Amino acid sequence: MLAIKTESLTKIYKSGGKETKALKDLNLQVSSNQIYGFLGPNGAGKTTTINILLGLTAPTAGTAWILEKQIGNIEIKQKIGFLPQSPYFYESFSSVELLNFYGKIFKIPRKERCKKIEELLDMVGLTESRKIPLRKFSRGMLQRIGIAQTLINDPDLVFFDEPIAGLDPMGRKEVMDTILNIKKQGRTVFFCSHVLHDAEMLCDSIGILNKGKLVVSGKLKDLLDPKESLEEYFLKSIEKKEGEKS
Amino acid sequence: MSIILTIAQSVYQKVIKSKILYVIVVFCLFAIAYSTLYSAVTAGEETKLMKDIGLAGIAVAAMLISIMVGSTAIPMEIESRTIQTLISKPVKKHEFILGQFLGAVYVSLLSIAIMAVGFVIILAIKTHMLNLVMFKPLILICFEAIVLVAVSVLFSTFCSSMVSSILAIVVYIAGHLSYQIPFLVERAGNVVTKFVGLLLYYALPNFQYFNVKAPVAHGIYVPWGLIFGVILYGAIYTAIMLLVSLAIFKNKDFA
Repeated sequence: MLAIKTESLTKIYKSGGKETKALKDLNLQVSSNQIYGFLGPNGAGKTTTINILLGLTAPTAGTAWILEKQIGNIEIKQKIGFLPQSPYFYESFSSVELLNFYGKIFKIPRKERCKKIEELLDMVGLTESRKIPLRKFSRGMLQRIGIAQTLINDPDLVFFDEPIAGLDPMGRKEVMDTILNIKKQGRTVFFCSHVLHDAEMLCDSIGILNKGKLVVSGKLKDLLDPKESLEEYFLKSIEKKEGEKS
Repeated sequence: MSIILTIAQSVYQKVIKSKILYVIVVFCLFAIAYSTLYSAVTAGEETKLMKDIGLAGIAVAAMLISIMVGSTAIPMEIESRTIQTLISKPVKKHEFILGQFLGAVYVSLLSIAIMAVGFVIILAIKTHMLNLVMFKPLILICFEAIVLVAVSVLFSTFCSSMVSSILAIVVYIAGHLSYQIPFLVERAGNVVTKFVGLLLYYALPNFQYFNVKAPVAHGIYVPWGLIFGVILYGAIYTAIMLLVSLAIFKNKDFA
């Protein structure tokens, strides 16, 4: 089963009479039950792709399917979770209030919701800080409560936009362990990053995006030579593509 | 409906933790209590003065709270990007708008209720009787607040919180003066001026309809039929404002 499929997905931003092609004819296929790393330098179009898939912005052309349903269908959103690039949550809320709010959005019955909240707080190690307002949270703690909210509805597909960026080594390890744990639970993870070392450790498959175009996509073990690092492969792929153009 | 109410509740939860709301409510109650001191210098008129100051104070506080909450709810979600997480969940755009609107209305009405209870108690202590007639202007203050929240929400769908607050205050002032437009239009010789004048007259909310404070304070009878008519006007105006807000918000991007 395909978790994500895009067909000629294109996004053009217009500003002051100037057009910027953020995404150019993106054709992507992501199988389920894996961690897919959507990689690329800053401004490659990774976040734009996620924004289109989640209905936060409309594509200029093309379309996409999530869990075999075309985007725009509100039913899809029952089965997905999303952690934005920097976690933006209601600062005055506590962890429990935040998870309770999102649980209610998914219409999860009260008893089940309370149980789920306890499980998630335990999973991300925030049980002790359950009543502290989020404004007092560190970046790592915010990232962890962000991950918890993505799982409140038991999603089949989870989108993570740069989940590791800006975290200290301990925070990175915690988040990476949590992502691996999510995969073990049988979910698909669509993971956006420009931190290649972490992506190499986490991902089963990758797609490399550069200047809005998909440069390469496939299983990590098929793409990399045994002695080659993902960073070397990434640079090689981008340089090759740029060389083809010139 | 449950999603709308959940979003409305979140608006209430966020606002209730903000100190500015308490400052406005406490300041208003203080002003009402302070007005009792005037009894010494206005012998015989003290009750009227108290009613005047009390109702005017509640109306001004209600205006400030309605504009503050109505204008900031949506821009804050957009500016702080919390809307991205929310819209990525099964929330339709109309549910988002209606939730923000209802949350802001709830906060406004709750504040009015607190101030009204304080006002009625202070008045009862002073006059040794319960002034039930005060409920008529208080009901209309509530509906004026609802209309004002809807106007603020409309502006906030395409403006920053600061700009929408300013526009809402302009509409509030213009809405209290708009009843004079027909008289001005009659005197205008230019067709274009007449057209613009009439357009403004029908587009702006006529907040003077909601103002029965002075007649009630001076013991003049205000029929319930008039109160219900104004409530109906307020409901229709609010519905139009929300429909326009939804139309604007429908195609908005949150990237």
